[in-house]
Amino acid sequence: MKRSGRRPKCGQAREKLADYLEGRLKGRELRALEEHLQECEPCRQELRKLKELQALLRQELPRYWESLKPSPVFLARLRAMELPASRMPFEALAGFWQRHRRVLVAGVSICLVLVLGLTIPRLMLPKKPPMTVGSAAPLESAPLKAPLEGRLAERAAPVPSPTLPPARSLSTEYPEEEAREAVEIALSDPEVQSHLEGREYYIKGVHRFRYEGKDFSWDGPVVVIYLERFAPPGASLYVCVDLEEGRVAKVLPGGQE
Amino acid sequence: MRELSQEEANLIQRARSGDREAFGELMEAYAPRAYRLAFAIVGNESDAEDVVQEAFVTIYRKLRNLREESSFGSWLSRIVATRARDLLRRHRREKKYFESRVTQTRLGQGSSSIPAPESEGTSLDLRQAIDRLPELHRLVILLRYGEEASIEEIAQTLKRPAGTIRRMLSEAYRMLRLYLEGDEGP
Repeated sequence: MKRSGRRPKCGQAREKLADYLEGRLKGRELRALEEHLQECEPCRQELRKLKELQALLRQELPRYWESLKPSPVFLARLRAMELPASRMPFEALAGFWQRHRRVLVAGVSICLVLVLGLTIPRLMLPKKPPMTVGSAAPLESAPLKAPLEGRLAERAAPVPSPTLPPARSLSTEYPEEEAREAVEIALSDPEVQSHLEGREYYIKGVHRFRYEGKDFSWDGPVVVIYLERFAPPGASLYVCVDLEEGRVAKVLPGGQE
Repeated sequence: MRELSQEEANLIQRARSGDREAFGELMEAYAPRAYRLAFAIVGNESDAEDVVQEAFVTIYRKLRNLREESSFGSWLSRIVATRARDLLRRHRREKKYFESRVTQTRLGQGSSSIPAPESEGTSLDLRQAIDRLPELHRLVILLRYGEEASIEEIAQTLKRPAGTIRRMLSEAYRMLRLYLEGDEGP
């Protein structure tokens, strides 16, 4: 019985035609497509039509694109625009640094030497263990580190909401200022607040995540929040924060694919 | 997209250090590119100008956080695209803007800066076909062929994975073929 419609192979081949024309196919994928095109006239025709369309786009669009010019009046307005004053303190500091760089570096170095000179000797003094009178057993020295659980508990101390965690670096991928801004935006979002209500949450950090779901895609900063003191699997929130717009783009419960 | 020249790199560096004169020159150099992208999204001169102006204010405030001079262009494009799409969403919610846009074709009408097409048939058909594309598909086509941006650059501008952009490009080709061949499609 003759099968009506396209063979399944043609559908897959046609999806790859654009990549093929732009030289993005390699190895086995490229060979498979070329073999199919040799055998399949309808797909070769599709390729020809795609080439024609791309040629038309290359011919027409650059011209149209270049024709979109801002008016000279607007450019003049842009040039005369008053820029925000928030950078001025930075400019003043930058100028101060340029002028007094050597003195500042010398001063900081001296302070550092003094601090180290006072601190290191104290650290190197051994702690004396308590003496046991009359005992032949070896003395036990006091533990140098707190038990692991205790240290974890200290790190994961619940943070009263809605405030930022104690001063520590929030991100290795974003400047600290941006990471803190992302956390502030996340914590002030009503949906996030509804998840955090009544919980001892912990701000794990701000990372760059790529996510592609059915209805939502993301490539940017994500604030990771553990919803329990020690996060069991699933008990976390991934808050996608759009720093440009200053808002939460999406809240994803932990463990969501 | 073209590569950053040494002169531009120096300009960005100076602007990052707080040199306002340098920032002014930077705006003048990048304003046309920012404007084209904004116009492609919002479809009119006035809104495009507002978007570009706001984008440069944001850039000025955050320029010192820029990690590499070479990423300035894509960073600017990203901010412009985000603000323009946000403005478009706001206007759509207000409904008035949407009603006025229905009566005009975005490409080829309504702006003093668009020239008359040389070949009425092909150019106008292509422009109308592009205009019918969904918003992101239209942007992908315009950035690919107008700005000559790579897939990766478009992905950065629109904050989507590169795989998504490739898929959208293929879908856009398919839709354009349907519109140009006179088939309304599914």
